[in-house]
Amino acid sequence: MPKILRVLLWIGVSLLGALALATIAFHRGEQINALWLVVASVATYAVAYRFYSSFISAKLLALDPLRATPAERLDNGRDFLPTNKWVVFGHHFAAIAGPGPLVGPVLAAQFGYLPGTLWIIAGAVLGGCVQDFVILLFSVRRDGKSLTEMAKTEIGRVGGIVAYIAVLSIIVILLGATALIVVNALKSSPWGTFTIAMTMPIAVLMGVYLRRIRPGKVLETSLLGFVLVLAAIVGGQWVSEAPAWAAIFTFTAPTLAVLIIIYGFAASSLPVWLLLAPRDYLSTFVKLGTISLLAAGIVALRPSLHMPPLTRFTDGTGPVFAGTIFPFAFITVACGAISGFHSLISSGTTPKLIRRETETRLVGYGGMLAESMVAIMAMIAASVLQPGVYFAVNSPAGIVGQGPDAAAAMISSWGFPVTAAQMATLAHAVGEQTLYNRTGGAPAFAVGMAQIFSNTLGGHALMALWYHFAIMFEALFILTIIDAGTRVGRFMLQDALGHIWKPLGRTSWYPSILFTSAIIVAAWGNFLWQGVKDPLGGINSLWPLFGICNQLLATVALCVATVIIVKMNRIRYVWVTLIPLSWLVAVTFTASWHKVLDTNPRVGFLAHARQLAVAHANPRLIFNDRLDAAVTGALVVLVAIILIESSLECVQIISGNKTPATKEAPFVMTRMAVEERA
Amino acid sequence: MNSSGGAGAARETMEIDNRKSGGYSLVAKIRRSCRLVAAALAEIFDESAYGRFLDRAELQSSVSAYAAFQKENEQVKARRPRCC
Repeated sequence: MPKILRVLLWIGVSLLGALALATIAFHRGEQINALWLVVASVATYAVAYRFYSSFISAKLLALDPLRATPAERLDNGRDFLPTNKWVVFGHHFAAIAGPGPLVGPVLAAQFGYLPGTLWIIAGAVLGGCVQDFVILLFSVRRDGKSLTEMAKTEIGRVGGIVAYIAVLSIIVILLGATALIVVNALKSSPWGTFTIAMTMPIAVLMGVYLRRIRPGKVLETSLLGFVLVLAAIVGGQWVSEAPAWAAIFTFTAPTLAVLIIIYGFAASSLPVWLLLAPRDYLSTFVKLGTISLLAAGIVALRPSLHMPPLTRFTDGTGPVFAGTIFPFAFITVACGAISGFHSLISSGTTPKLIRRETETRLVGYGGMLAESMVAIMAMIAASVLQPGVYFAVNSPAGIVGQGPDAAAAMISSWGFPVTAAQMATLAHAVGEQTLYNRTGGAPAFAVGMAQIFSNTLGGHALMALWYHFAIMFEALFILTIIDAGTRVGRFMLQDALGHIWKPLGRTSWYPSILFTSAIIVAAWGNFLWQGVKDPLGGINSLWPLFGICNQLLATVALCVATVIIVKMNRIRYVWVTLIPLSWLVAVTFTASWHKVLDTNPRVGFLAHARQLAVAHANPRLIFNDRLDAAVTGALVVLVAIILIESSLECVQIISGNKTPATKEAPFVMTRMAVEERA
Repeated sequence: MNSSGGAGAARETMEIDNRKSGGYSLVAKIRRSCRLVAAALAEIFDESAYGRFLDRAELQSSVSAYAAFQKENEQVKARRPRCC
């Protein structure tokens, strides 16, 4: 394409993006079409990828196409393998895309669609994508080393220990928070519970089929599993309509919590091939399919957003979770904008597959842009709901009151009209007994997704089916995180305990497996139980705690990246990681301060504990609040230590008191360039 | 090499051929895109990894070969983090 046309094209894309952003930012009083959000994000992502990631590649990282990657140098046909960039992109995206970018934006929509949308776009372009990209490249240049290893070698021993503790903490809190989302989505829902319960025998059947009948045919097996899951969704309707069966599959929240805790323990202890691997395949299949379907549905339907750009809850009195826009909107959106967890993937399997350094831009920066697009879709799914319906679904009974009439009256008094009859009709349409107080984000997302799907395919008659498909999709997703996460936590604990007593470090020694699985399950099970038992806690407390942990981990990752950039003598461009790092420090430290010390009992853990103590409430609830405060405080102190250590390292290098020495693998010329020239 | 490994080799050859000829026809582009999607799915679902294992161990696909592959892969797979 001639240069002048290229220039005109990019000017056009930039202007279109600016127009769309201005429309969503300044439009007031009337509903806007969801396509404005899609156009604003796609245009911004295109410009950011074309120019900002290119700038980072050339000026900051100086990507070298002639430098052999570990995939080429250490190629063993197993972990290290040069792989086509689009294949690595798919692999990386499948690993980073989880329930976070779906649930976070739905919860953040209580402020209106504007704050969350702007943070998803800006946070991804300037923070999340940068983190994923630079950590991937730095890991590639260090033989695929993990984040914790890089923290240890580049910052210091304390950095390594802090990163290790942060990773273990985030896993535990993530598991508790996401398990609570499943509990809230499935309580008193025989249809959903039956469908999810059926995925377990289906997974075992897939495991046996894959191992005994058609060895290695994973795609075929996943397709078979997918068809069986669809049959289970349809069967769920019959179960919910048959009183005897409905009674069997109707559980209270505490019962579901116990069942999920037992499941987590079993999944961590059973052979991988029997349950974990097939459920993982099934979940990946459903995940990729559903995300594609949702994108197609939004583009085909072009729905209007009923949620206003800003709601009255920007003042911090929101029913979904308490707290003002700063810092809580930035904490709540979580993985759709920036996720510390991604740095584990970027320094895990992905760097071992990268064929050339230049491909880290597509995989690292581009992969996060795709994840961010998923978050935009979740924001649209939440915002197409009538605001009254959104708040009725997402508000806990402790805030809006018990009973449909009381809840409808309370929500209507906030300026978001909704009636008990409207909610009853909607619940009937989606095949549920009630949609009130279904907190956690998943049910609201499912209702929004069902509305989009049913208006695109099948009409109103299929709304219940789409709703339960969405619930199944989210619960399947999350249960996969729970079984895999419990196992990863178990391995980390075994590695650590192996230093104290060697047999505990043996990963296949059954007493060690049972002991460490029990510790990990007890840790996240405690958070889950707390969420189930505390009427005002629950997702209100756990999700911000998870968001804080996840972003503290991102702070660690950006500290590692900043120190490496200083050591590379690229101080002139250090702002690329320093700006998102400073923002994250401001957000996470402020949020932690509020969560621990705020005098509002709906925000601060200690204030809530004091309120409970005055009311002579259950001592267990008071202990939970104090535990949450202690965990948050401890994590902040640990991250502050790593920040100080990183700053000292940078100051010493910049002032010339220390010779910069990065731990990069030596340069080796790639054979691929020579082969291609030949 | 099994189908997934073969697809990988074909992909590389195709890319070089196309680069030499200076472009792709529409049909070739569609075919290439489909192959890439299939290759990505095979990588995500470990079918390619199984193909490489069979190549490396010089085995035919069988129940025992797949069990051996899973045993080798178990530690790596179970330690692989999944994101939130």
